[in-house]
Amino acid sequence: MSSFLCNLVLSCVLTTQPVTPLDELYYGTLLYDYYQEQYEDAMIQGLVAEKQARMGDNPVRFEIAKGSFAFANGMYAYSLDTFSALENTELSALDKQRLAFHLAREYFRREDWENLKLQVDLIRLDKTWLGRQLVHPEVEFMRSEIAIHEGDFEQARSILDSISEKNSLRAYGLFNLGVALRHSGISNQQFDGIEKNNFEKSFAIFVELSQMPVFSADAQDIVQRARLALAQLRFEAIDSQPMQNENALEDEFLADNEIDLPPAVKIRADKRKRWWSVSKMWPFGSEDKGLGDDFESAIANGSTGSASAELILRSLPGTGRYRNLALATYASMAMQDADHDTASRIWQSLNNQEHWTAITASARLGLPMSLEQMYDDSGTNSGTVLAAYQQAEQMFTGRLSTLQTISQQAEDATWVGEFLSAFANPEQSDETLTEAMLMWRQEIGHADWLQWLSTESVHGLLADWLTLKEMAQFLTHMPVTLESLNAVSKEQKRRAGAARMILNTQGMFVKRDRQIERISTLSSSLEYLKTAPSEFSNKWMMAISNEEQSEMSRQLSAMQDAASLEKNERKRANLVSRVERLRGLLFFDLVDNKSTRLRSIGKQLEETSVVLSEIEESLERVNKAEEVFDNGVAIDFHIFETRAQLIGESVNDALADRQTLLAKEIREGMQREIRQVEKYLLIARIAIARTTDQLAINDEGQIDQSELQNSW
Amino acid sequence: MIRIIIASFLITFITLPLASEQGLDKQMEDIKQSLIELKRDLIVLEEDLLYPASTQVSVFLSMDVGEFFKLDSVTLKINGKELSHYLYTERQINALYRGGVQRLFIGNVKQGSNRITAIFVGEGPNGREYKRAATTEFEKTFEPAFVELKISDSTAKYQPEFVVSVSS
Repeated sequence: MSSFLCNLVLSCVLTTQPVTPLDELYYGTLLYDYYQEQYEDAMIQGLVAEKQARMGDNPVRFEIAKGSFAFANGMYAYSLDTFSALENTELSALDKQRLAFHLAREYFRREDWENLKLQVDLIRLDKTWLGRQLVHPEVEFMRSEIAIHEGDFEQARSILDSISEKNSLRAYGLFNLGVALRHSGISNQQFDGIEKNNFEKSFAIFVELSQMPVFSADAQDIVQRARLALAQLRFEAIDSQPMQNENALEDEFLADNEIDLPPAVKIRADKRKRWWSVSKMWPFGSEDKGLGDDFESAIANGSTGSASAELILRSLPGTGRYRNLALATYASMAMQDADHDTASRIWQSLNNQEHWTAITASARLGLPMSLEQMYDDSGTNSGTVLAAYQQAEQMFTGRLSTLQTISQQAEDATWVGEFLSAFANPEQSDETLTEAMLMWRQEIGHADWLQWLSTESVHGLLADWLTLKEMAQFLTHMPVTLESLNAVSKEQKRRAGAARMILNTQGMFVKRDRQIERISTLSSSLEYLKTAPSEFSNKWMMAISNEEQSEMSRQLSAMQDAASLEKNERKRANLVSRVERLRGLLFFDLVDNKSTRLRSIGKQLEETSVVLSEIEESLERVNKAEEVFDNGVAIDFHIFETRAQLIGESVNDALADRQTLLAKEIREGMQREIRQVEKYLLIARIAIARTTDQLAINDEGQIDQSELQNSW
Repeated sequence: MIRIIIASFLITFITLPLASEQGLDKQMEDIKQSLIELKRDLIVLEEDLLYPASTQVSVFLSMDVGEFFKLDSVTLKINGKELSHYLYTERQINALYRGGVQRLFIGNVKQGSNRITAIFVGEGPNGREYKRAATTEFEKTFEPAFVELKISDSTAKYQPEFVVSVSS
């Protein structure tokens, strides 16, 4: 009722909600960090709660959270240790499922299919009240991967169909299924029976994915990849007996670009190559609207051969990270179909791009090749072709020289360090870095040029390198932090000392002793008065009197003493009797007010006890503070310094290791590209020789013809 | 030749695993673990040193449902003095909606009676600007004080509720 009135009449806030237990609040803080993907912070909060014994009655959930945060933070061994330790403890049914889920993720990461299956089988979700089975998309995704691994493609498909169509995990799973089916379809180079069936199923899956509605950035990426995969499949259909080497390359391409893990799993570095991880490095545009029409018509017609492959390629986005790849592939196909005009136009547009990439390098060779073919058809303009080849040769020579210079520079550790700073963090506002980045771009091209450096393993190394740099920075500032804390502790110690001095000089200890004495007196008086009957005696009267009454009593005693000295007996008796009467009056007054007085004494006793406890707490606090500062904190600082120093050494070692490996990668990448450019250069030079000869023959022919005409 | 060129484009996406990747991963994990433990101990030390139990107060913010209120900012005052003003990002609000709890403030207050006031600014029902204050008094003892600011929905009133509760 009161609540109702409060709601109706007053706009008051009801504070009747239960207070959240402290461990709930601390658990919530972990989740707050976790939901913001601040895994390290979440993990630290969990460890702090553990150290401060704030985990309440359910420490298991903190442990599970800790393992999960460690997993997300890339600490897989720590995560597995945490979960494995929990396996031997008493867990609720829900916690058992949670644990199984986290262990499954770890086994999935390790590709330990046997253990993964065991853990996934432990996860059994309930049904809704309508009887619909609840589904966890990531669990179902892992189930489908198990089925794919076991070759049970039907089962994999059925599992994936249980995931919502608006969940990108379904799309990732389908893509992987498509790749697996395609693999199975061409594994023995026979396109009949089950294999052929799987090949067609693979094609159907990529068609489905390419027509999937774009509901997220991930979905859009998968749609594009599916289109690229379709083009690849069409390509294979064009040439049923491809060259062995080329086929091997294509196989490797599709196999290596299998999507195994969704981004939600957040595993950065893995041995297996994943297409999806590349997308994290190269953000793509979304301006491919309206480009799907050609694709749709190609699918609708069901046509095979170069025309449909072209249409599929043409349906790829006009912008974004697949644009150049699509253009280059399209140009190659145009050359194959003897459409050299189109090919040359595409190569030209790729040539116009400012930055050097593997594709633009190929375009530099592709353009004169197309022109040569085109002019061969018309039989003119060999000079233009020669000029184009010479320009390409010039570019390749320049490029080769730059690469060789950089390759030599990559031997220098300082150079590598600066290079990594610029490359790993190009967006940093630091002016030095920006300048360095500009320099690299001018010298060696756009960051995209370093595609061999943008591989997943190198990306992982770079990410580690950056993390280690941040750690080193943190550890560099650690002594300053410790110094500040030390200064705070010293100041607190000084204040504690000063407080102690004040306590001494202001006689706090004397005051405390006085209060103790007073309490003792009051306690004994109270005890006596509570038990002793009222009696007309000095002892009783003094015990119950207040200060005024005590004074009065003392005066009466003095008067009695004075009266006893009177020599006149009559006068003495008279005086004594008057004093006695007055004492009697005082006695009856004391008796009348006995209960009030007892209460007053009790209150005084209580108040004095409070004062005493406050004094004692202050004294204890000062003593404790001094003790803590003298012993505990000073030792901790020393330990901290030592620990920070040791970690700092490990960090520096790890940085050096990564720098060495990255330098090796840079050099090897340079060498790979040098080999490629040398090959292109050789082709260009051969072409120059051929075109020069052709030009000479043409000139000779023209001379002969003019001579012939003159002779006529 | 042409197909080789195409394949060479495609091959650029392929990654090359590093030989000693496992060793590097372990090295990285060990360092991460050591550093996290160091950070944990540093936080505990800082808390002990800067916010002794006898004066320590922690303020937490939580949200239950939150359909009637979209949080923009919270201003926190203790004994009339503004100690914290926090503006929220979408990500932080989402974390609160999903059950996260933010430790809004940790600091020191005097022992005895203290007054805490939180001013919530955001978007209320029907998208209107909404500003509400919630206040409470609490007695600070020698133990640390924990204050929870809770935003919840009152389905009876179709209004948000702002509750302050204190425990120690």
